[in-house]
Amino acid sequence: MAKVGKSPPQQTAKLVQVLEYVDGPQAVLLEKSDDQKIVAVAINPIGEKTKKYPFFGAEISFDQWQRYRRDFVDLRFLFMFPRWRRWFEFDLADVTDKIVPLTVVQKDATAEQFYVPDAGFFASDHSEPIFSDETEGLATQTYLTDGKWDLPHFTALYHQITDLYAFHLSLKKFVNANTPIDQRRHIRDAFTGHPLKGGSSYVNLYSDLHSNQLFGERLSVGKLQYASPGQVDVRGRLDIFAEMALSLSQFEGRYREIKEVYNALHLFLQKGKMLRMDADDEFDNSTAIARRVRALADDLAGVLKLEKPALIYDLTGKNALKYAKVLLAHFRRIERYFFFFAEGRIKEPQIIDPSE
Amino acid sequence: MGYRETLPVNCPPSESHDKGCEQAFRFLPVKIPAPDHFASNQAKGETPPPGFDLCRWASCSLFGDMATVQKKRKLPKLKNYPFIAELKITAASGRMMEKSAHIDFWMSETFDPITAIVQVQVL
Repeated sequence: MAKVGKSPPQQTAKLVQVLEYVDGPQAVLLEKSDDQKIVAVAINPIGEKTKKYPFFGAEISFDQWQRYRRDFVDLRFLFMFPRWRRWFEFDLADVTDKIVPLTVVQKDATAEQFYVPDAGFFASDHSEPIFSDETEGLATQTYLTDGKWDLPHFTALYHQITDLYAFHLSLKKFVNANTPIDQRRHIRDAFTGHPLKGGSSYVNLYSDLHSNQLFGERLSVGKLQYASPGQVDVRGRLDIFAEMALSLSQFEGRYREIKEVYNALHLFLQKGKMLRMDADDEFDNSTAIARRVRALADDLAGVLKLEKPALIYDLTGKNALKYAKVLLAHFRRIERYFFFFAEGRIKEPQIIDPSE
Repeated sequence: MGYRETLPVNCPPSESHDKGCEQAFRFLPVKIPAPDHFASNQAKGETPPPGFDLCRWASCSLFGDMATVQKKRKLPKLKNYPFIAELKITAASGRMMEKSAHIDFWMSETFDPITAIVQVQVL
């Protein structure tokens, strides 16, 4: 493990926590900044043995850390491909007030052979639970399946869940003062940037909403049991699952009524040949027809118990036709989601709040 | 319960238990086990890194299953252990605290780890 340069500047990082403990710390997490974290493992140094508790670490990004903690990548990957392409060694005996002096080193062949963990060690293999940051507010939603399920059915269910999740999450994020401006712009662009003439326009809307999610916010599948009965666990934000549960409960009690409101809006657009109309170029948003479209769409938002219909209207650029089509698309996704329950193929979803 | 070594105050933690376990595993550096292979860092006279839990420093690390053992061997300091001892630990042999298949074990003064070994396997 060769040192870099003649006298590399000494850097420091804060010791955040022990990740793995076997007769002493075997893996630890350090932090230089929000986007500069160091995962490090205890080593038996080759050559000089001047350190009491020598560690070898790699500097990774916040996003890589999020991927790791959710088992999307293993520990070896972080050492082989750290975002910031920097490696360090340090002595855990030198910690003072949780600050660790670091020495920059290279990941040479020796380090790779003796210091980099083998493939297949994941965050879920840690002896120590990871201190919560992003996991606060996260929950696991469990779907117990019954009846006959083929792989495409699981895929269809997951698509409905992810679309609904992305929709509600985007609205929540847009009104959150802590959401960066560029992310808010992306959310607005997703709503305004598609003509919504049908088909792929709607897919693109949801696709844009998906792509704007940070890694720590995205849904992830925790468990997928292809069986009858089987089980699907998805992990995501508790408040978003609560929104989805509210939508579902509305359908359970008032499906026919909601469907009639949907049909009224759909029929009005159909008769006016607005379903396949380009909402930007072909629709006059200043007419009485536009006001009627807005009113019918408001009715649909009302029976769906959407939290912020005015926000959705605003996000579509106050275009009544886009607003209506977004709500129609949202209805169809809840409806398909609801049918899994109505058909008896999924039991009531159970949300497991980690704080309880 | 008296312990094999002097433990810090409030150690073992109150959430630990003394029920023993049917199966526990311990890394060994050689095939023939010796009592020292079960000694805690404190018993070896090692100073813990600043700020680390002294109670844990006085425990012996065990694992609850072989799958966990194989996972731990992917870490650089643990990958070169060539042997694993399987133990059967009866109740009142000491106190244990289990977390994610890792067991902190504070041995009672009467517990002999060598006689608790069921078998030693090559890894």
